Amino acid sequence: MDMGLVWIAVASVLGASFAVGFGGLGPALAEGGAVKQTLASMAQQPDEASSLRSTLFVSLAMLESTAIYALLVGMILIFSNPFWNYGVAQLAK
Amino acid sequence: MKISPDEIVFFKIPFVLFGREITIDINMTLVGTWGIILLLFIFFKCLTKKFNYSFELSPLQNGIEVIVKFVRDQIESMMGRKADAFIPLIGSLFIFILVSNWTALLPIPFFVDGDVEWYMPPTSSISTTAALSLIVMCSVMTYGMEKVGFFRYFKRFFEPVIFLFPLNILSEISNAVSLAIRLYGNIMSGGLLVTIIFALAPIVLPGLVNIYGLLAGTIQPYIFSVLAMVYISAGMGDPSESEEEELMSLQAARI
Repeated sequence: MDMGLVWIAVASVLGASFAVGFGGLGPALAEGGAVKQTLASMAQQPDEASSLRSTLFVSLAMLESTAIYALLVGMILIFSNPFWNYGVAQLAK
Repeated sequence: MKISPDEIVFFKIPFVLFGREITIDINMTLVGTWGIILLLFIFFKCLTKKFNYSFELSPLQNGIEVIVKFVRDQIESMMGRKADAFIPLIGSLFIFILVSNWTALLPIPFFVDGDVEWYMPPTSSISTTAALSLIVMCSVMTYGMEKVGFFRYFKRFFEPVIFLFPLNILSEISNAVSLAIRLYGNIMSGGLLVTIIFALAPIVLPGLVNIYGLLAGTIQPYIFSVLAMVYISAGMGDPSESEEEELMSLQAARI
């Protein structure tokens, strides 16, 4: 096996792992903060619980999408990596 | 392993357009989308035939009225406008995405060239979600132009100063892209997670992961339609005082 191809594979796997790892870290912290604040507000003002809940869901989904972007990049790196395909095509020549 | 329902092709339709050969793939996304549309159409057509306006409602009519009321109340509280103009668009988006996500749990086999291919929901393909977000963005422009006028609508891109025009255009495009990728990523990752977990531990865990997928599949249509409402509302500008008063009197008359 060509060494260049091996390095492409190593770089893509490491890149995907780091993308998902750090991409999940930030949104997790942010979502924790958002939920904490909402729970505190709900305990203070139970009357506003329903509107707080709907706002919480929307903002959680917005925060979650950052993690989804990281996941998408990781999946592209592993399942349909353009550089890997290019390396294979070069090797086949 | 198949990630996207686009990869499951039933048959191809080749034809010549302007001297160029083009093939249209009839894939799982198309079949799933039209199947769900047909299913919903027949279901609601049969249902609404038996509707009446008396006080004795059938349980099904009651259920449908609960859904419509939920959508209407959400629209009114989010947008601060009368909901009549938006119920068809927002409600259809909500129900289509919801049903499409829930069908992810159905094990329906399809026979393609002697192989068995399993059903995948159309929302786990980026082409469906991109089409849905394009619909939303086009209706943002349509509602906005209808409300404030063709030329005055474009004034919004030059505010607060004219130099921010490229950034405003960029934010509009990134709204559309994020709307599509959020739905796609959530549903696709749910399905993929089940596949991977199934290869590792096929006894109990895939069911639990499916329950999580069902939760995400229930929240995502809500998020999608709420964001669509927010974008449309932003495109139409702030509601005027007479509109607010009209809405208030309407809500008071309902109770």
